[in-house]
Amino acid sequence: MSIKKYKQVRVIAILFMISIVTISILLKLYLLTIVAIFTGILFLSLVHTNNKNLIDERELSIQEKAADFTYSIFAPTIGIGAFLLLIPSYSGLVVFSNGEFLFLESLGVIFAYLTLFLISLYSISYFFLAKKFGGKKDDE
Amino acid sequence: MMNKLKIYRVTRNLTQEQLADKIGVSRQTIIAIESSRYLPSITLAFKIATFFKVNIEDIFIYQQEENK
Repeated sequence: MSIKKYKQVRVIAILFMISIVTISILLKLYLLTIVAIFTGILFLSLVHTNNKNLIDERELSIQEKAADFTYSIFAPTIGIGAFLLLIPSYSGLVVFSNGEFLFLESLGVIFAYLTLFLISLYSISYFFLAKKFGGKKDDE
Repeated sequence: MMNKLKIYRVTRNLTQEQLADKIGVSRQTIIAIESSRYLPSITLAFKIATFFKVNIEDIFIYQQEENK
């Protein structure tokens, strides 16, 4: 399979999945939605596994840069977001400690854990990839 | 880094699409390499050089000034 054909198959599979999901949502057949999503993911991952060598290196390079860019924007954003959302709750201002603003604290806590999770995931991935590609200090 | 990929491709009467298929990359990659917007990996550079039966440095020209 050529790269062009692989991309075409991928686009067709995604379009097919989107149409089935749309139809099943419109008909309120939620089980069909779940089945369509899982079948689509399974099909795409099978196609991807069987054609790993067909992924263009320029595309991979773009994906790496995009992932790095996304991480460098998303992590500080939710980190600062968590900080800003938690400040009012811990500042002692009564208006933020109860009533309709109470959800802000929960949202802040969720954002804080999300930031920690993201940083941990990045660090673990970085550690394993550095080990895989970097070698050890005593290797000569 | 500059390259003579376009010259080699045109000399062999190949389209970007044909070269891309033979090397196993997308046409966009060939376009990006030819216009020096993308530096290929050493593996791809070797593939290209092997395809044209020349040395890598015949196609890809390293310019010392880039590192200064």
